[in-house]
Amino acid sequence: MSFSVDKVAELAYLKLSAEEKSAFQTQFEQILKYVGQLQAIPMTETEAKEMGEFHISSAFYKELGLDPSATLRGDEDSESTDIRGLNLKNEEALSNAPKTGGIPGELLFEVPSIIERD
Amino acid sequence: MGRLATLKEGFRSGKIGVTEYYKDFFSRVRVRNEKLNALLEIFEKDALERAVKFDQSKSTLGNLPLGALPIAIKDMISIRGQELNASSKILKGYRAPRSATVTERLEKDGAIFVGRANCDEFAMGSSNENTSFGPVKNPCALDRTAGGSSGGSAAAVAAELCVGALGTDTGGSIRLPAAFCGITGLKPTYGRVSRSGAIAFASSLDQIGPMADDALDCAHILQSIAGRDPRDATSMPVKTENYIEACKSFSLKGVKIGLPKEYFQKGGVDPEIEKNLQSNLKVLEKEGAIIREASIPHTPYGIAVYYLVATAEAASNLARYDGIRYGKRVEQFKSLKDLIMQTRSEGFGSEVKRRIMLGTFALSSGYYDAYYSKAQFVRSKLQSEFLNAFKEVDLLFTPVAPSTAFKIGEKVNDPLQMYLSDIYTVSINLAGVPAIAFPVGHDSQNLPIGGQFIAPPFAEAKLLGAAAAFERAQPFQRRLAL
Repeated sequence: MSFSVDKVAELAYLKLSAEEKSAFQTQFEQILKYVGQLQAIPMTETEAKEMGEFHISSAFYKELGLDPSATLRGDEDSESTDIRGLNLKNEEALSNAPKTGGIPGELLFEVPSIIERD
Repeated sequence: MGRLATLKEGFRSGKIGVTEYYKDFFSRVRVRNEKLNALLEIFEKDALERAVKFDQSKSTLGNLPLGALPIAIKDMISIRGQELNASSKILKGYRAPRSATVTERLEKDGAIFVGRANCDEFAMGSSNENTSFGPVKNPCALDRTAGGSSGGSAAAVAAELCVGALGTDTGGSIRLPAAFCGITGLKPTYGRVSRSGAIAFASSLDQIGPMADDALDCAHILQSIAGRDPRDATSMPVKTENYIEACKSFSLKGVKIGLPKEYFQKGGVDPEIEKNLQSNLKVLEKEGAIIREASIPHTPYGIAVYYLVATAEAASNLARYDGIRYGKRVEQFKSLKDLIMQTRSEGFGSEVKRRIMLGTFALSSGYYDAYYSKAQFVRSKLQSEFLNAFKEVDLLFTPVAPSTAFKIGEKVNDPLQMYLSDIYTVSINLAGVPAIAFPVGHDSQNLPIGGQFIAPPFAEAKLLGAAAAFERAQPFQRRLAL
């Protein structure tokens, strides 16, 4: 299976230097060769599909006889008791923003324009 | 007794004054930290203010399980108002708007946070060399790595910059540095400790856990942080136990301990570690444990599975670092897309980029089934094998790492060799079961050797108890190079 450093970097929103590209190409070839040993393990199509549902905790719920839905809560207003006090005020939420605009209490993240204007 | 339990007794009895202790404490911390680079920031002012309050209200101290005890927190876990960088340039200047559940709980129980511990960037590494702020040196040998990614936390405990610390463990990042620095570190069961407020690396693998001198000290910390948290839907509704009592009362007599044969292959560990393991088995048998062979057949695939699953989850989790809402943003850019790409490229280190790319590839169209699905499939096999093993034995015992602490710079240019350091730790995270690393001896260069117990899900009391029982049978003396 081929690995294109340029294509994957684009997908990952990374810009690599020429040095990084060269180093990564060699390293990824070695790493992918190593992880390629998994290809030898047979897996049916049904098993592959089931992996979409796999979760690490499912087996624990089963082992302990617990109901997985017990950790869910109703689709209710965010001021419910278990997360009360977690909601951040506008200024708190934007306190780490590189650039903001707007008025206090209604601050917005400022970003470059994404629509080209004539 | 470990320093946490000893200091707790000292404070409560009044034999040690809190303010007096902290005045001397920080002068030692600064001197030693200069050599080790274990703490990125020392919270001296805040800690002293809190210490004074404790002396003013002695009755409060007595009621708090961790009253006035100095604890270091890995730079992956939020403390409200403090800087939080994940040891990365991309988050330099970021301040946590709220505390993690674990730091809230520790603070409520009286702990004083003394510093932010250095770590591998975004917890990605096994040597604490992948950090934007300089590597951490091992207090047992200053030319050696402290292990990673919680190297700062481990070094801080070993060098007495704190009496306990929090680390995170995604593929061994508490246990490996614990072994390298000669301390005890516990990775809880997935779902035992809330991850709310911790920076995510791989969300189905990450766990926060205690690091301290010994099992009893770790138990004190776990008692505070463990338990269901409604803010973390993956934290499970399983009652916590009395971990402190377990450490004091557990006996190894009659305990069935399995040795997974895949962890004891010839040449799998350095000869000195192999020799030490054999002597450890004699100690366990002398204490009445019953040693049996066990097997986790898919162990050899653990690293391959981990470096597909963990990197895939990391690629997703780290997509949020785009220069828009927090963290670094580049000044010069041509477009929004360019802003994002440049920010990420300048902000992330090589190892983080490597893992994001590997994970992106594993999830990409045409490769998802062959890589990611296959890895999850083998992961499900590993989990079944651990759970089946525990039908025959109470605990498993294994080495923590193939070697003792390696030299700084030794593996930095060979990522695959670095990844192979995790061979005895990753499968435990993939299965979600708990494990503890504790010191079991030294090699001929005075470097600590770590042993590892692995337990069934939510059996942290058994883990801590067994480690405490071993420590009583074979006490360990750390040899520092400071």
